[in-house]
Amino acid sequence: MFKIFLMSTTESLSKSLDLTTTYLPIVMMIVVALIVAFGMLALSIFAGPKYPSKAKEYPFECGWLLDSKDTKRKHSIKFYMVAIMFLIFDLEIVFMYPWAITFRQIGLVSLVEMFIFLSILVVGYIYVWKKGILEWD
Amino acid sequence: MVELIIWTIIKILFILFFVTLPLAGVLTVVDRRESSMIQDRIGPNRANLSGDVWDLSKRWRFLGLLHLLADGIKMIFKEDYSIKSGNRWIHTFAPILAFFPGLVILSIIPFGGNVTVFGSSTNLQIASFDSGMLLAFAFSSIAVYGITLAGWSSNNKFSLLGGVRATSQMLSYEVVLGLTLMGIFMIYGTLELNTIVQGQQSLKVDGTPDLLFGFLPKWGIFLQPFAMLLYVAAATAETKRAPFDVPEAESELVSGFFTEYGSMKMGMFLFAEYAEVVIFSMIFTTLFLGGYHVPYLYDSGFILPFGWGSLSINPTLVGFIQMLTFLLKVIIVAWGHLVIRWTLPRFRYDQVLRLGWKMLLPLALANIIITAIVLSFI
Amino acid sequence: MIDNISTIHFLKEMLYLIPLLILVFSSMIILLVDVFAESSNKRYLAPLTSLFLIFSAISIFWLYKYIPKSGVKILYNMVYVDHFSLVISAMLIIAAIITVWISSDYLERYGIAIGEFYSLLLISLTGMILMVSTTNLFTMFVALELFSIPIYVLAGFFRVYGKSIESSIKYFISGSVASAIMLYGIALFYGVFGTVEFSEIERHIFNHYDSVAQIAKTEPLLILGTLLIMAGFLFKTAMIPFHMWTPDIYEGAPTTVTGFMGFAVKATSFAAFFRVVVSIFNTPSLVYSENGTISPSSWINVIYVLIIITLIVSNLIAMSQRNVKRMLAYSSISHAAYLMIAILTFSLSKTKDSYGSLLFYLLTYLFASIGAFAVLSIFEKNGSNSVTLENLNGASKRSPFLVASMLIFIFSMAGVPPFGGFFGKFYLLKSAFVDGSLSTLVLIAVITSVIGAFYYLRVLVFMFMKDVESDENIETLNVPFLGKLAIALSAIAVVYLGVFPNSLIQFMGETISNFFIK
Repeated sequence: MFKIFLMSTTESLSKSLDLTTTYLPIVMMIVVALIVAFGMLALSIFAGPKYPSKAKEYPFECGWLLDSKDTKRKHSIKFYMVAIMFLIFDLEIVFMYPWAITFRQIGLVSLVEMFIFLSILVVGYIYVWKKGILEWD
Repeated sequence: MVELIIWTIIKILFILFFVTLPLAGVLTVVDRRESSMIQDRIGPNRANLSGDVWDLSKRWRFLGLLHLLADGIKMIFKEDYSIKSGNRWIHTFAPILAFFPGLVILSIIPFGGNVTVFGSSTNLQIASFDSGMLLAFAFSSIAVYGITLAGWSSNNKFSLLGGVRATSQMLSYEVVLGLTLMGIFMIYGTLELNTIVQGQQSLKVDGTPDLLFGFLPKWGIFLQPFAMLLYVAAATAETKRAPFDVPEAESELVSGFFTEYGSMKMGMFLFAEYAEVVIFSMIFTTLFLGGYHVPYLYDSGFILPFGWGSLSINPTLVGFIQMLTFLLKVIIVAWGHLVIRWTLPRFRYDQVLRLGWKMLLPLALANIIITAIVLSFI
Repeated sequence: MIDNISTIHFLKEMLYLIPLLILVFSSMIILLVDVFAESSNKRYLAPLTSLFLIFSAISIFWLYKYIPKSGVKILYNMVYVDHFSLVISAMLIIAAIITVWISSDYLERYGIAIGEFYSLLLISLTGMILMVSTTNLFTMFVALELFSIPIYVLAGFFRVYGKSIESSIKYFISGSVASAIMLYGIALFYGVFGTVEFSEIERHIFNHYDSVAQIAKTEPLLILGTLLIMAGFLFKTAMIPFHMWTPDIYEGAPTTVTGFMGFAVKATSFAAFFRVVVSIFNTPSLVYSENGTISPSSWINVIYVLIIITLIVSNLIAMSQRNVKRMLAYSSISHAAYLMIAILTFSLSKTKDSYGSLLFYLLTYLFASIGAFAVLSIFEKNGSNSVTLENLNGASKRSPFLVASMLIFIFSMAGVPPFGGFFGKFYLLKSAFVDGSLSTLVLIAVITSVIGAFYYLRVLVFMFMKDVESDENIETLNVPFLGKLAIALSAIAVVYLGVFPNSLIQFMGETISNFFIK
């Protein structure tokens, strides 16, 4: 099973030690950060007093709009548009990172290629702009 | 391996508990004092150790730092009630999602050069790997989940609106943030922050300093001044502080996505904001202000431009000077950030998004194109 | 800094991509023109689009003479341009031109924003051409998505009609699932071989395995991967267990879009599947068992059974359809079965006779199918977005031209002798019959095509023999110029293919035989 795949994994086994030294500190940092965050949460849960009352269960809304079911309603389409725009542009940016860091080694070809890429992006941007997606009035 | 783990623990403890969290705490007090000075009022001055409220001369106020302690104690001993109507589990864990990603970003920031203690040498950077800055972007976008879920699970219209506003604002500015830094990555050819710092002030192969126009160090601020301005704007919006604080605009949304939070849970949101300010300052320092470098100070000592001479210094001493320089730069940038907060009025929400999508985004794209053209023809 | 050699190399590679580049940039230009143009000027978008398409077609003819017969691999082997891909590309572009010509008036009648339509059509066409010109599984998958997603949007282009939206969503969801299944198959191939290049996969299979039984024993995931990739293609080509999306989507989508996707999606998928079959699936160890007979667990048997089911079921269901678009959907499913016979014949017999039949059948199907949908788009009642048989009552009095063309298209699809479709079926079944193992299949195909003639001819019955009950429908239809041109050219092409098939089928056969130039 996976004969050829296995061959490549044995090759990369020697690199795994390197991977550990690279990523172990990050893992440790995540653990410490989580401990700090959970610690702060636990402090407030265990140290504070408890005086439950009916009034505290309601949403804090200055006495009006107590209908709590009303919050799961539709939002303006604009918010969804921003989310879609974010997806598109963020993906484009992800494609640009490898280009950016190897730019000085590859040279003019990569410049031309990225201009093609960017021109497509800019056309989409102009289209979105003219269609009024970026208007918030 | 053991050496690595010990060093990592030391570095984490240092950067987290001796730099970031204290600095963020101090910033909460500085923020209040600074606002009072800017607005020509006295500001918080009651917390003191002597217990004497009325006689000014008898108060031991320690520059007002006791307010930090008082705030913390107050937050901890407030009642922690959880809402019944919303989603309680998400409501409880949202502050953690908002708080911890910022701290993880600390692991890629180089806060000093190479130091040698007891014969063991290490870089003052917790984790060094090629994707460097991508980790920062990745974890800062996890923080968006914390905000969104906090607003959504509160079952409160103000919270929800604040959460949705925060989400679309942070998403919008994340795009700009990624684009503005592209120029820096192109110039230094890496995403790894320590390499970027070293690229900002290095020696050429023949041992002479690599300087711009013969005297300027190759810091990001000199090579990418335009990107610097864009980055400051985008990063300020990303930390959701004034003038971009629409998600928690007090006069519109009570306090936005954390309206339904109390005690330390609310404290975590507030504290996360100041921690983000510190982290923003660190990344800004690293990318644009030469990181831990002192101008003209290299590993072996000072080498002045124009052949004005040189001065050799013990490398260990250089290491500690660089670390202190880094902290000093971070404090100055953070202070500047607070000044921005208290001198600019809040944008309207449509203005915030218009600024992001219609001005900063095309400018950032233009910056990339110009940088690319310049880089390929010099 | 400036590296001249790599720049020149890069530009040279771009030369082979000119048809694609024209399409990509024209789609962007049309998007921009649409955004900036005043609404009164938007009717010039269709001529502009067809102009770009004609440029692209010209560049394809030029490339056909320019490239060597063995084809060229460019962009680090990601794209492979050869005569086969160019022929299919030319067919796709012709389909797009006809679609644009009909759509111009059709969209105006419905009052739909038109710039995006052409732009999406061109993007989709780009993906299709990319899909047929690659020998790399990843590029193929990306191209598959690139042409599918604009089609999903186009299917839902009539936003005000529930059926259009429904068809778009249905197509999107089922299509995404099919793509995901195919991607999983690709992932298994990549997992087993560590490469996605057709030739390398073939080399690996050839070197490591002897028979299907051995593969099933040592590398069962390879069999699974084969089936999953095949399932993805079977979905796109709408073979029967994967056909459920077809009628609903053909009915709900705007009629001109239906015409385009009825041909183009099918042609692209068959061309790409043909490449996969030729390069990977046809490797003897994936087909034969140790003693040289076809292994019972080979993919060939799966296709064989599916063709029989498809032929019978699609023709039977089509008989009961009152909605002409749904009927044509089932008819397109049965055409898929015929095309699959061509592929099966090719991989089993390898006599030179079978070479041209796939491409020739596609060519006849192109004109007949798009032409039929074009006629329907004009007969369509405003606001309903579908055509029932009753809508065609008395059509011969309303527009003799349309009915005459429809007669040609219908006869061609039914396989009535003097038209192109007959010779498509004839060559296809002849080459399948010459190879003895498929004679049962040929028999079933002949019988079912006789069944098929019933529902095809019923359309003509309604057009010619039934009269309208009320007077309101009696007014003559005026056919717009571009639409008339498109329909007339399609009809002429169908007749031409029926009268002079020999030179073309020889040409198609030569195109396919280029596969074996190493």
